[in-house]
Amino acid sequence: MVNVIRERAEQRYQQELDTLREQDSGPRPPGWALSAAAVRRFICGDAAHGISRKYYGDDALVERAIVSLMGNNGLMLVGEPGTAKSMLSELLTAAISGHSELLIQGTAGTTEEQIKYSWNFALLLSGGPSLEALLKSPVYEAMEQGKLVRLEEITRCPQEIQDVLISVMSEKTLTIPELGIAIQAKPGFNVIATANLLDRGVNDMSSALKRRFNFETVPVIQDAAMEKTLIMSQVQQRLADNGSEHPLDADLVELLVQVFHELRHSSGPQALEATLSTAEAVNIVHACALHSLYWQQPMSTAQLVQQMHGTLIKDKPDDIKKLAHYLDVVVRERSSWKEFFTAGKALWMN
Amino acid sequence: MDELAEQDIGQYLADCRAAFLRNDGLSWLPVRHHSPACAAMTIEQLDRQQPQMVLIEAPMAFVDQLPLLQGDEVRPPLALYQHQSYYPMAENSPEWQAIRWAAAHQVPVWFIDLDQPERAGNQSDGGNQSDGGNRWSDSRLLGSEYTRQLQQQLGCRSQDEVWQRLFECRDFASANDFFLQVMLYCAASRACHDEESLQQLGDLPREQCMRAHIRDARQQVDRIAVLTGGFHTPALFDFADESAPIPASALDQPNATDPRQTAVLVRYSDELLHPASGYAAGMPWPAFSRWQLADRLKKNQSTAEDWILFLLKQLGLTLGQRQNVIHHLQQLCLLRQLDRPGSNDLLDSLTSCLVKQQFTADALEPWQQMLRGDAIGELPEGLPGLPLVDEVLQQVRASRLKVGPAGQCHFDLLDINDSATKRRQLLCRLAFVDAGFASPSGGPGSFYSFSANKKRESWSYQWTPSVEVRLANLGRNGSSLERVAIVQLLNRPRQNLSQSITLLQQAMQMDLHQHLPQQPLYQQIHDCTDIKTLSQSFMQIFQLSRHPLFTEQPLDDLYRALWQQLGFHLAALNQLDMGEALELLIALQGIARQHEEELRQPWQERLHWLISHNRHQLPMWFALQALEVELSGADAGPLLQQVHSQGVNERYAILEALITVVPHWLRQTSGLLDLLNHWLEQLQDDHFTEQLPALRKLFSRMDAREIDGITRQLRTLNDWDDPLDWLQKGLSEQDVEQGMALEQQLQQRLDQQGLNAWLSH
Repeated sequence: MVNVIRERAEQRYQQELDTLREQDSGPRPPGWALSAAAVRRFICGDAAHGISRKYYGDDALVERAIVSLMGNNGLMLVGEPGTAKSMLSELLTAAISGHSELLIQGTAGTTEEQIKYSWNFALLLSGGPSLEALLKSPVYEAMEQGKLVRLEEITRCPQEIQDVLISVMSEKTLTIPELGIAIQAKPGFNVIATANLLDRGVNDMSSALKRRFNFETVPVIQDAAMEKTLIMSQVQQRLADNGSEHPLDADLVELLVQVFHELRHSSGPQALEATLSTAEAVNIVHACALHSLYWQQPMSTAQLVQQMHGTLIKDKPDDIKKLAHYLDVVVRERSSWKEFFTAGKALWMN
Repeated sequence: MDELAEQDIGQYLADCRAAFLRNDGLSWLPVRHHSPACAAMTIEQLDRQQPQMVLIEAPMAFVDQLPLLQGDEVRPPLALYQHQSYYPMAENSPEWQAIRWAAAHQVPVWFIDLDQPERAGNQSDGGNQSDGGNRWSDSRLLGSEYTRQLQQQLGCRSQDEVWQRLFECRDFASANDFFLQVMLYCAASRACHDEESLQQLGDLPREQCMRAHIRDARQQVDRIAVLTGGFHTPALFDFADESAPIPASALDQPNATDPRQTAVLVRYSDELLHPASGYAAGMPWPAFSRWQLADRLKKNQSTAEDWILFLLKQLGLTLGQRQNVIHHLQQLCLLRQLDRPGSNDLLDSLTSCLVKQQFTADALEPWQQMLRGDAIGELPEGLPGLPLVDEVLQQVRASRLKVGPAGQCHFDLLDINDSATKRRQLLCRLAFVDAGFASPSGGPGSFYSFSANKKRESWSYQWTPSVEVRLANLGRNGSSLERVAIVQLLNRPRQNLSQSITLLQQAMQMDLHQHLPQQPLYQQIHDCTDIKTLSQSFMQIFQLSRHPLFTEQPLDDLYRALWQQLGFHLAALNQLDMGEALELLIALQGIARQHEEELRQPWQERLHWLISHNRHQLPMWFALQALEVELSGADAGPLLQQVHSQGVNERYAILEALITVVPHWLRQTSGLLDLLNHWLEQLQDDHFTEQLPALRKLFSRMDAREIDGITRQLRTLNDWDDPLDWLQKGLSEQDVEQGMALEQQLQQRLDQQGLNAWLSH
């Protein structure tokens, strides 16, 4: 059992990264901890050398992302919520820079100082502007160390704050007029940003900033078997992080995956507004597993439906009607889904 | 690998390798049919080995076309056609390069496969046409379990990407080394198929024929080259043990002059070569494959960097775009351990570097179009073609339509002369048989359901190789377009009156209606009790009978039969939804007024009968009365007085019905507007909002001037001081355009969200 709630990727996969580093004979781009091929193996897996697959999706997307980070442009990962954009960004950073802690979480309240630098006002007032009084932002540190910096949910930031990155990314320089100096980025510096398409999308980004990023759209997993494997492994990992071990009901996970796939493919007025990503499915199964673990009950369909309700129904009451429609039209006819129908009916059809 | 046990696989591949490398003057060229790498390596291997004879996997009867294939006047893409099947050849086809090499070096060529009729007979499916009539196929090679496992291992997205990575994007030490690797890959794929499946697909007899040819060729010369699909090569190594004779060719058959049985060379196109057209042996992106071949033929004179620069130049990227893409593509190739990028890699880099938004399926369309290409093959003038193709081509020329470039022709449907009528009939026939030659500008729908109100019509057309290919396929139904169209006409479903009427109007447009049997149609009219179907059919046929295009076609009996049946069932009007019933009445009233001489009297009688002999809901009764008043020109006042005497709750339903059937009464007849105004005044806000969409629909039947007139009357009625000059709101032309654009956007959004029904309320 680890003594933190969530380990960073480089901590969790320390052993695999060490193995890759030892075996890595390929050319390393300047400032990179591993060669591009080793980064790919770290993310897409290499069973022959005991490297687990961490990203379940299109390998070509991972390759494109790695290559984008070798160039002058940053990498923008866009996609619906819960498609593992942040996870991919963390894995890339852990493998390329050795650590993934340089992170800015974009919000409506993100300021220019949080992206560039701010001041320790006690020192500033007592001694005036100096390097000692300067508080470095993750971007500043990444430039100084030649590392990758992650900017999560960039489109949540106001546009004028996003645009602070333009000069950083094109000139690779951060000017500090108060000190009359400029920090030049070391090789290995780059930016990985993520943007959620269901939030504000990327339409609010300036063209100038868009030009400085290579875009990759991270899709929802289409392969049900792959999604099931991913959910099982993620939940097992979460339980293990918590020092627990609990058998998962594979049939139940399969049922959930099928429900999600069917609901995702609903279109028009019957489409749910709730996010139906793999991350949501992992949350549901994890909650079921915890319930089963601590209440000493087997995982059940009724519990799965309860957790679906809690996870999916947020502030969109119409989604209940849509789930009721799904039960009525699709589920009712399936004889082997009786339990699911009964549990769902109690919640959504009354 | 189901067929061979795992321990046997190693031995099997070792045996194949030994057989391939046995240097006894026989050079094996296992290929994928349109692979640029295979094409380039074929030339290299032939140059190196200098064979005295070249054997190629293609039907034996194609030898008849060899002089043409080796001539200077032909340019690929072309296809050899035999018995409803095509054997396409592009610049990047190894077969094409081998044929041309043989011509340049004066070396004889043998085609060593069974002719198509024999192949079709050997196949358990009887040679069905599900693969679009193309007989080369990569499905067994690329669809094998071995390829699937390789795909998983390499992280490729498709089986074709596996091939690209293994063979198209790598440099090889020699052509021999390349073909050895191709042969081993194909042998491993073949090992996944059992004898039974190969027998079912007709491979075994074909391979027997190929072995017999190789055996005989070896008896004649010392050095031969054998070019076949790689899937077959491992089965040919034992040619010396083959005892069967070479089967007779189609050329030796009694009907050897029939081009459908022997072989014909036809033009082909990039569009048809692309797998998206259904070609089972197609390499994606035909133009890109051509570029790949040209690059490979430069040998050491072209570096990977030259190749990338060439590609980006072809795509027309700006300097800034190129800089970003070049670097990305180079690094991607390094990561994927490729010597030079293939189409997947190029599209990957374009995706990363140039798509600055969420990726959608059409984001790369302009570049994909360039990679797909638009090349069309060339043949010498005056070559005999296939019967149906030739016949249609003659008709097209006789109708003064262009052959080659895309063209358009326009028809004034109300004043059309004989030659234009003939031209239009030809276009309709070609559209009906789905030859891909022409379509009306409003889409095929405007041909399938002809609107009698249409005054003008435009057609777009283009004669392409695809048209020739489709016509050749249609040739199995007859050697003339008329015959083919009649066969299709008689085979189309006519299970109910609607289908029969639709088919009849198509037949009329093609001047083929006389071939449709009349009796079943009259029987369907007699059996039909659905007044919506009857009224639609009646109106369609009646209007067509009065249209100048069809004046010579006797339809009077038909429309009278429809009218009689409709009149008989008109009482069923009350079973329809009120809206539908009113729509039907308006339509019938409209047509009666349009053709007063013939229909006014019978319609008036029918209305009177409906009112006096049937029970109706109040709104329907008032609507029928209003129509009768309207038709007779009587005073509407008494009728409106009766509306006044109805209860408040019923009044709106009656008003709605009246405004629906006689909307102009609002403006012309005092009383109706007064009634509406009074009713609206009594409405609560909530109720008014609820009624708003229905009101909007009511008023949408009127034009701007009518609404303007009503507005003025309303002002007087209500003593409003401010003028409602809604027509003069200071709207500029730009405002109006913006408004229209907004309305269009709204409609699109509603369509996308499945709410388009909202607009119709």
